[in-house]
Amino acid sequence: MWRIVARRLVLAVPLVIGVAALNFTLVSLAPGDPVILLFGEGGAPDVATLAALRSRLALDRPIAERLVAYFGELARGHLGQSILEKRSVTGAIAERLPATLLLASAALILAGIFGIGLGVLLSRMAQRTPRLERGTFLALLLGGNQPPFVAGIVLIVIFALILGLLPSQGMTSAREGGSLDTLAHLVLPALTLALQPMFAVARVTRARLLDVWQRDHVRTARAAGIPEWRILWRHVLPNALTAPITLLALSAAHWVGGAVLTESVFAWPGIGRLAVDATLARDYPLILGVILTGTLLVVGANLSADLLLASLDPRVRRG
Amino acid sequence: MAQASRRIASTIVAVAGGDPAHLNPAITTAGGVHTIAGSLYDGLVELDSAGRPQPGLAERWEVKDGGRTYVFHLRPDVRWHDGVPFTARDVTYTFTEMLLKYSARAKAGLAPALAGIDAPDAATVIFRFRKPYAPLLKRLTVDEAPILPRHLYEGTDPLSNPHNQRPVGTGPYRFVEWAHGDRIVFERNASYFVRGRPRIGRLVWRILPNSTAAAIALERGEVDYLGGVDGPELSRLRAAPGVRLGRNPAGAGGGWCVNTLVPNLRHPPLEDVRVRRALSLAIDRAFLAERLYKGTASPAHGPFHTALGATDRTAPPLAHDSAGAVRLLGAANIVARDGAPRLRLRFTYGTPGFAALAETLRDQFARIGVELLLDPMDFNSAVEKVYIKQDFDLGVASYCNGADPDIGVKRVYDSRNVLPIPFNNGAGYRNPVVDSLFDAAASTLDPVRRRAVYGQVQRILLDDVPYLWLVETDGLRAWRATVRGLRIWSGHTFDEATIVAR
Repeated sequence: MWRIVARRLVLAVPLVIGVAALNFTLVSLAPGDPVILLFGEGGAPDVATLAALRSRLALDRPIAERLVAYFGELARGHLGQSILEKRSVTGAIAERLPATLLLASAALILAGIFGIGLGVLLSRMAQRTPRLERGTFLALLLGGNQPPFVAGIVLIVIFALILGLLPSQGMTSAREGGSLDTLAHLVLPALTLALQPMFAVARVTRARLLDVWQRDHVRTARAAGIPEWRILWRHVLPNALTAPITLLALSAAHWVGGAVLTESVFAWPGIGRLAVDATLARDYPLILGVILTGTLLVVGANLSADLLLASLDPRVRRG
Repeated sequence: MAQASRRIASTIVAVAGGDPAHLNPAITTAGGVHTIAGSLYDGLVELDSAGRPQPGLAERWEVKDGGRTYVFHLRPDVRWHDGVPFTARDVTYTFTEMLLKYSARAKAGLAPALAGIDAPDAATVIFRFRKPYAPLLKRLTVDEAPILPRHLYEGTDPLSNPHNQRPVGTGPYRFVEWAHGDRIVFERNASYFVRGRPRIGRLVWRILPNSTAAAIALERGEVDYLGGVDGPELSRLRAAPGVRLGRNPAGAGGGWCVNTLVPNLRHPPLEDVRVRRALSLAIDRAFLAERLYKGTASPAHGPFHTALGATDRTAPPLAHDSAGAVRLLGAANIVARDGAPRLRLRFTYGTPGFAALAETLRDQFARIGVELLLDPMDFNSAVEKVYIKQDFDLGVASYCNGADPDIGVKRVYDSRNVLPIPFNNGAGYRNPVVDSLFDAAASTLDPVRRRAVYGQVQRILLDDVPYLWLVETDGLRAWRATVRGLRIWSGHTFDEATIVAR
């Protein structure tokens, strides 16, 4: 087990360095200029002020030279200072990361529990009422594959506007507060972010279950008169679950990417929106800091997935 | 009394579309900063709803030497939110070290005219000009010239001073906390110099980037005030019970804005005035206002926003005449050959803001045989390409006039402002007569004669068509009917606001 961890960690180092270098180059080559909009819609004070600011940010230096300086700072643990807000990138990310982690974990739990539950339900329906199951499957396929900016607005209109059940914007309301208030705010964005992986999990679970139900050991268990729920719990699910868990864990990139869109629709104050704002403003140090954080999250999530699978499946553990 | 205290205990929740970079409105003209920060600071004067100057930090003033000298007498009872007394040196410091260095509108218009600012004593500020200077009072509001605390900024770099994130002002509200990406919280300044104001205990700015979701939040009562309403949300908010709509062209980002196409006059054939006149005739502005902006804008009449009343006579609506446009193109020898369009123009614009406009203009120009090659990109890249690199045929901008043409109109047409900086004279228009008329207008104190000078400017510009004016935006706002007394024309929007029982 520890050998797996060590091997993965060693492999992760060049990966992170490579991603950081690639990001730096892409961001530096992209059109746009971080200083031109600093002074607002009235324009900029003068050409000399803009030139002095570019020079202070070393934007007038060659990319290679800036890349070396960037890695020098990274090696010392510095992510630099935000051009726009003039505060440390580490501080800006630390302020926003908990919101994204809360949203992503809630969505992960929703996608896991409801995805697997739905998969079980669909597999049972497939065995008993196949026509109804096909209709349900098709409806879920269409409804569940909407991107967050569509699904989010639809959920807001239904649950916030028409039914008036849930708040639609932000992490807490302006007038109240407390953990119950945050929980109420969490429901719609977490559901929005969970939708796509939830239905993917349901589909995979359904397919695996239909396969496992046909296996010999299940038939033997049935013949022995063991109740259906017990067969499901003891003999079918453990064999069928590795696939959806792998799928969930490997979709870490989805959580990071989906957070960008979901957070914008629901005004959720996480790093996804920070990434959008930083990109629109060409706040280079902030963009690079957020992407690096996202990279570390994805690498970390994939590592956790490997460990989880190793603990579930002896074949993986033995390598 | 009980009722009064209940009002003071209440909260107004206002919407901001994005996190401002900071809350120092003296180093930027960004509307996003000014809309929020306006409530924290004061200017020397305020404007009433009709645009007339009223006392602010200055309780009275005198205009001397035929408009060359302005003497302001400051209120004696003003303190910064940290308790330090406000003095004339705060005013001179803010102007010399922030506004005249970094605020683009002050730097472009005020700096060249100004001979000096002095503080002979703690309660007096004197502005001296090289020539008589008419627009000063309209440049001294909290929107154009907020005053910042010298004792917290002197000796530091104003662009990176930590108080830009934890602001200290003299204004009606004081800063409490800022959860980035989520909210900015202000509370009532109990020792504000205008007694009895403000009447609301807390002002919370929620940062809601999605305009549809923000409109729904207003409808639900999650928020109380939207500082901007987009066309698509207008019809639903009009129908929503408990929501009020109001419009005022003034605004914290400059106000009185005219959405304008920027032709690159350095490129043939756009240097030919007949081609520009033809393009102007091809634009159906009524269609743009009604169908595209869905009633949040009106057809433009020229370089001056009509609501500003800056000229001696209002220009007639700009004509729409496709046949006339084709004749003009023919006269300019721009003809179609072998079924190809007469002319191809690359239109560089920022998305998503101008995407629908670009599609509509492509259709309208196609009717006169001009093909618009769409060149969409994000806002920052579009600004860089048009204004800094000047690599475009047509660009687009929302040019805001400000409370006086000297603030926001002059900079767009002034040949001394053809420079690689954003939102300036991007077309590259040079007309020495126009330059000198703008200067003459700034020095003309008599309002009737001044309007006549701007009328002359207008006639020349309508003839030269250096830009293609599209629509005037109306500055639509929406709020809960329970909120009363909003001053939507001012950066001090919530000074007099109250909340009545739901």
